[in-house]
Amino acid sequence: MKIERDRFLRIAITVLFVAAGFYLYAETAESRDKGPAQPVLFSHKIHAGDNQIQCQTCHSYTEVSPHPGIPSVQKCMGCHSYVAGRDVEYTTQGGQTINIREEINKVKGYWRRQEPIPWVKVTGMFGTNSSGMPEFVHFNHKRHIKRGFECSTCHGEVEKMDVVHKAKDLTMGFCISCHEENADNEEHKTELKDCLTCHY
Amino acid sequence: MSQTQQTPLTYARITEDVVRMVDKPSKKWWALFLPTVALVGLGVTCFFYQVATGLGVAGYRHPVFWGVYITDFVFWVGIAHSGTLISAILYLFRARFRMSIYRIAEAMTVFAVLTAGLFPIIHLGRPWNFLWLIPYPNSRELWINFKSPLVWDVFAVSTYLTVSSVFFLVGMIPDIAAIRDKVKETPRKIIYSILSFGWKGSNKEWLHYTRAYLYFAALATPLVLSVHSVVSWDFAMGNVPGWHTTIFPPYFVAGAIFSGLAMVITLTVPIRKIFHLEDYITLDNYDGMAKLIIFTSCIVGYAYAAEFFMAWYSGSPYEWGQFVYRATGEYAPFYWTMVICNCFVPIVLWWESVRKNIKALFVISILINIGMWFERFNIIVISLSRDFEPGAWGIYKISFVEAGITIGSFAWFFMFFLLFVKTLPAVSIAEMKEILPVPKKGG
Amino acid sequence: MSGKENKGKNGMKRRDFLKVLGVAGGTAAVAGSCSEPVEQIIPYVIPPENVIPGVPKFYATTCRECSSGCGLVVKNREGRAIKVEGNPESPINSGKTCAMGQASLQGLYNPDRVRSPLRYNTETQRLEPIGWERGEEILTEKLNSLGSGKIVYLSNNVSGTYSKFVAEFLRPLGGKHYVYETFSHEPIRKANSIVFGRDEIPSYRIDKADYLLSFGADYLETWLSTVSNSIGYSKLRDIDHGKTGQVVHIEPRSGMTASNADTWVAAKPGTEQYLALGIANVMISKGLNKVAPGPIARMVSGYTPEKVAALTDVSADTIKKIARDFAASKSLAIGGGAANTGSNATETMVAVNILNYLAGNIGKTVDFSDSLSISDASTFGDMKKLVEEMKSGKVEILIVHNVNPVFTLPGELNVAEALEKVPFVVSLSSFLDETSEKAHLVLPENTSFESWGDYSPKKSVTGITQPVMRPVFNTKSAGDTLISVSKNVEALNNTFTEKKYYDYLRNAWKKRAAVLSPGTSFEKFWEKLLVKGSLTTTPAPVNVALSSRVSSVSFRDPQFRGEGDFHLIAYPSHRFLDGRGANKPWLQELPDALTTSVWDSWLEVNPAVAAKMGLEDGSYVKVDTPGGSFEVQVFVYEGIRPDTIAIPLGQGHTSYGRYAKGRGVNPFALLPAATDALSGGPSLLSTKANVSSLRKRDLLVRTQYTKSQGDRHVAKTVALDQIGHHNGAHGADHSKHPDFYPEKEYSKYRWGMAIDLNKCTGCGACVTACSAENNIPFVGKKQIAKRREMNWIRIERFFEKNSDGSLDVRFLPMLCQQCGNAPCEPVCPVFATYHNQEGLNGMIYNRCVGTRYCANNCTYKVRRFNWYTYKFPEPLNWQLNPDVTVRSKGVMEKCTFCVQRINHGKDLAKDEGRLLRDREVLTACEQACPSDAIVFGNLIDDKSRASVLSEDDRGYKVLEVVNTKPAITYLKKVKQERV
Repeated sequence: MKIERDRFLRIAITVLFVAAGFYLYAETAESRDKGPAQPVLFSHKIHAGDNQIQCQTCHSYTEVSPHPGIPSVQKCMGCHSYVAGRDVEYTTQGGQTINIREEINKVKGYWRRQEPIPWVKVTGMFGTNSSGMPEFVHFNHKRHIKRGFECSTCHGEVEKMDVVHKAKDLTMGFCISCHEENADNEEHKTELKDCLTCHY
Repeated sequence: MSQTQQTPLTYARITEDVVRMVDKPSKKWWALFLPTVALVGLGVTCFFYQVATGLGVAGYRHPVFWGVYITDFVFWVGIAHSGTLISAILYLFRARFRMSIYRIAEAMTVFAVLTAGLFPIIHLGRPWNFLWLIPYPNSRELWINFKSPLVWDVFAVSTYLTVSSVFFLVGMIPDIAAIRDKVKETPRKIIYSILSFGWKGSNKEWLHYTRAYLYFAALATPLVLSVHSVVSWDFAMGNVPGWHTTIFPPYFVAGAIFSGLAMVITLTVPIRKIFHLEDYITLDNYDGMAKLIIFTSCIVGYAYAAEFFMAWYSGSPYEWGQFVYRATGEYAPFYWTMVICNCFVPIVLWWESVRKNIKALFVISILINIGMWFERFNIIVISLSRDFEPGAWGIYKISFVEAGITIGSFAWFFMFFLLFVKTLPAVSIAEMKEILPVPKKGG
Repeated sequence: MSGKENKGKNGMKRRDFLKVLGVAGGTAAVAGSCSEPVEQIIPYVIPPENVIPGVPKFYATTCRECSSGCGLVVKNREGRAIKVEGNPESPINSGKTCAMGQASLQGLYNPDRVRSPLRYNTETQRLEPIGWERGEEILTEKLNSLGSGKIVYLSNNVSGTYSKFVAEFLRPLGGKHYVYETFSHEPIRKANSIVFGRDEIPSYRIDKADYLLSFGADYLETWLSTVSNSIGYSKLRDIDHGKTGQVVHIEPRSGMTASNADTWVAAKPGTEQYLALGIANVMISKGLNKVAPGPIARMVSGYTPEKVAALTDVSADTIKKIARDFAASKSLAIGGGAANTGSNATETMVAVNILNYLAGNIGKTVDFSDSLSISDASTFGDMKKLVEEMKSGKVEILIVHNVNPVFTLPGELNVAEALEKVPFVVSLSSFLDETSEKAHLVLPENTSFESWGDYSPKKSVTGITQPVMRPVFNTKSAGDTLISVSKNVEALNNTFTEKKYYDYLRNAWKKRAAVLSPGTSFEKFWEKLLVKGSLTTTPAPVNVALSSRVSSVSFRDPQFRGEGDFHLIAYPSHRFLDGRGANKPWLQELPDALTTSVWDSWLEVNPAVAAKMGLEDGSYVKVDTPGGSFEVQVFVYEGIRPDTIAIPLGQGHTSYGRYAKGRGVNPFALLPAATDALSGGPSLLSTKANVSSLRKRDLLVRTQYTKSQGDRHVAKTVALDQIGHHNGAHGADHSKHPDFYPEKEYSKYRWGMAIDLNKCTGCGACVTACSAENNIPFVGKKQIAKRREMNWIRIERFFEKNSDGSLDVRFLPMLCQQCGNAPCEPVCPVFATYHNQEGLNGMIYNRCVGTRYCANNCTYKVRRFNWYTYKFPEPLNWQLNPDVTVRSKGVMEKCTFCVQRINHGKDLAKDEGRLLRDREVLTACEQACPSDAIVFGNLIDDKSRASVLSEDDRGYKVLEVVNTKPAITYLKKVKQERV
């Protein structure tokens, strides 16, 4: 009897550790293409990293609207009417190999058909929306940008990502701790920690 | 009734009788058990229907936001009281008439708390959010509101469940060991072995055991008073006319013991008959319980009167309006059912012949249970349907889903109880032996 | 800026509309092996100019729900109209709206709109979808083959460019345009023509009056321009140095308007004229008249107060008192409603005119220089003739546009049958109502929110309607349809040079602009017009003199048909008007002001009659009239004469969409086609009916079952001469309460509200506005029968008694009081509701677990629980406000003073580094409130309007004794010496 119990314990503990390890690995692995697959493999690394294009060039409403704005196909074509892209193989950090010109041609295809590109929202692990920003959270990009926060404070180093994934967990604890740190005084802290700031 | 009554109780017979109870279930047992399970199924179906569709399928409406589920909750918490009262308080007072019934009362306590605990969850719009009532570290960095009586409820009920279960299980150790020694089949033997914690019956064990039992009794005793006081604060801390009163804690505790004792009678009468336990649960036991019922009935009756008096004496039109409404409004039949069942019916117990008449006791105990259910219903629903704001007054009606879940909850409770009498010692072997006169040599 | 870009060529197809929202996500493809759905972000293909996702755009336009022509500002988010507000620039409504206006978006997004052209298939006997091309082709063919018969264009009041356009369209075809408004107040026109020689309806300036004497005119409900009237009423109710205006209402029943009057005089039905003559008689005999009476003296000489008293059931003293007060103040007498639709309506209006004339009101409170465009509508007599013509086959083509004569014309006329005699009926309406259903061809029009146009409600004002979003369905503006058709019709070949109605409109305005502002370029003029929403001119003053024709009037006794015991009053509803509002769930779910009934019809019966017949609220009765009978539930109401019964109009649709169909009864169907002899107006109030009990009873579904507030004193009144005399009953009182806890301190804002019960009329505009702003679901009759309505603000109505025993109706808007010491807060186990640093009682939906303890503990019972996840059928969900979370089942919700608006305002103020100013943020209810009863603001700021009003001597907190310290101060209703 005693031996059996020990065996059970050992198995249970092993399973627990493996699960925890798997979870931590998935949560922290930075270098892999763990973001969702997109209709066009748009590399933020090439655009924002290698070519140094500012975030606001495409996400142009960050300073005027609660929403940053997703660039229209027209905006893509603003450059890609001229930039055809090199006809070369490109390997992403996650090991996916694409042809740059082919990807750009996909964008041109959407433009020709006058269709919007159905981007997939970047959320939690494994492409689930389990920890995406739910609709009862009213986040205002404008306020944060005007206050001088870098995009990377919440979105991580997007300019280093070929496939965008969620860099910060963006749970309420994340928001609250930042609001606490950045309050000017106690009164301001109360305001920033007020539930009605984000939930209504 | 016939054969067993002839032979007097002996140490051996007590053990045999109890072990016989946990024998293979009879057809009678199955005939009781299967419909019970079916009714539990009805309750579960209703519950899932409610979760899937929304709480709209219950009878709730503006302005009555609490209804049958909270009534059931308070009712079952109330039932849970007398178990611990009989096993712990009466133990401390060395009241001997408790010996034969305390195990049943304790089981009743545990199952009633199990049933009661379901209702706040059923009552929630989205039951899975129940977790948020428990303080645990989370990524939202949110805590719970310790000012809310509902949070106190969570602690009170869960503490009560824990303590009463432990008390129940610990109390059974020597008896389970006795069964373990009698049982032959392996799987059952293993289970009883585990539950008996390797009890051997040595002197040292008995020494520790009795000490522990005493301490548990002492620990459980304040809980009897605290749990229902906390439950009563759910109402007393609110500002609704008819709720907001300081009389509630003692009134609720008395009411709980009142209804709990009635439930013990309701349960033991059929068990006594089915398992032929007339020698164990004697008429004197019933007499003792009936006297307690008279006492608590008086307290409850006094509380009803005091509420009325205070409502009038306060000069508050809201309080007085509420009590006049209770007695004369749409819900008046419910109110008078409560008064008759709880104040007038127990009066007949002043006669000893009634106290010792099993059939009469059975009927009276059921009437008291009905009356006490309506007491909770009246406090909750009538108060809410007519409080401060005249524009919002409205009537609550019970829906079939609520009825289904309520019936299901009774079935759930009885299901556990039926399982209990078939698997665990329903009468305390050890303590029954304690009260037997010491046998003569060779007897 | 303008709605032009919405219609730009480079836009997307309507089908793609959902897809291209820029921010909205849809659930679509499944990624990889994981089974959870993935949210998508769909960007624009081409971003529309000037549209920033997340930032609302506002378009000025004109409301076309009734003929008042209120200016609107429509809030548009990401291409969808989400909220209607009054346009502060409009001279008609000064930024206010009524409930119907607020609900107009549910017309735009109505799931039962006609989605594409339909044609009647003779085989299947149903209307079946066809394409636009085919639809227009059919109409073209019919127009080309027009024989000797007439072509008739039947529309609602479309005064402005469109009426000229229709005239141009019809001229070559020899057609006729009928402007049909169910309530076009012919007797008022006729009486003005008789008394003053002016065949028109003037502007009645309630705002300039101190003493308002209404002969049945339900000016707060449906009479002429209700929002405008309410604004005037609000001014009249201002209290200045202990003085305020007075209102006397004469009507057999106390409707919402009468219930707000200081005195309700229940004259015998049809005898209002005698009352007016009696008052005139007193004025002249006592020398109170300000203008020489001329022939009038002789006319009224016979109507002594005593004689009139016998005729009308009104005491002679009352008549004398009214006459004295009326003559002594800046007064105004108006007539309408029941008095306006009797068999002697014109005579009654003549008598009313006489009063105005004698008191010298002409040119002061009666303004003929700025007459209403509804004056030009066809009379009921004209309509009757038209129906006769249709029946006799003289009408060959009938174009019906936004009117529903089958429903709104008396049943005796049998319009449905007449329509069948017309060879070809085209409907241009947006909805399949009872009339469109009978059409051979339906070419669905855009709603006014989707099309260009203008509308002139009165001489001085022309409002612009511009598209506030692109069409929701495959519809076309009526103007565009007609122009497009005209190109292929021989007779019309050269009528229109323009390709679109938009061009026609601009050309018309170009001509006006050249006259109005000759210097500036048209584009600038046009842009300014679109921004402002309307053009206001100053009409030339007119001289009005007494016409000699006045003496020709003889005052006849009212005629009644039928032998019943009761006068039957069918009155227009403030929610549905003539029935056009019935397809909007918000209006169906808006409780009627007096009965609080929803989704149904009812019959008002006096308690004495009810007692005699054994009727209770909800009893079924059968009402027999000469025109037929109907069954309806009873509402026992003290505010109606025992010899009268009343039923609201507007329900009883047999078509018109899922929300309207099969609810209640349509009294129009039973009314006689009788006319008022002089004006040709409908004589609706000319029927006597019998009531018999059906001996069954059911719940009459309402939102409030309590009639009196009893000893609770939540809706308080104060006598006018007591204001300022009771020693600080308000200010000092609540600081005296001892408290365990320290006073809460606020640093920047303490949001609060003042609600003036003296101004609240119970109209319900706030309720609908709140629903629209806060995504409040409608739940339907069954759920309301279980009291599960979701409105965050409700208007409680209490029937009390005045000291003389007369009826005293009180309205009390009840919403979350944002208590400083809120009972809901401590009981929530999870902090889902709490008090914030700005004095708001926050409600965090996503934290709520649903214990509902807060709602139990709420003293005011203003919290609502989501018993189900309520659905907004497509495309009604397009209206949802993206700034407010849509709640799902199991969540408590309530008013938070439109916190999304406060946050939005604070965000904009922060951009400028300042705090919010007073009146910068308006809550939705306050914004709509036509009588300005609700004022929201920062209580820390001593100068804010809300602060000032909160300190008013009339101020009190509801149920103050509970010590909840509400942020809402109610101002007691003022009671004056009664007539």
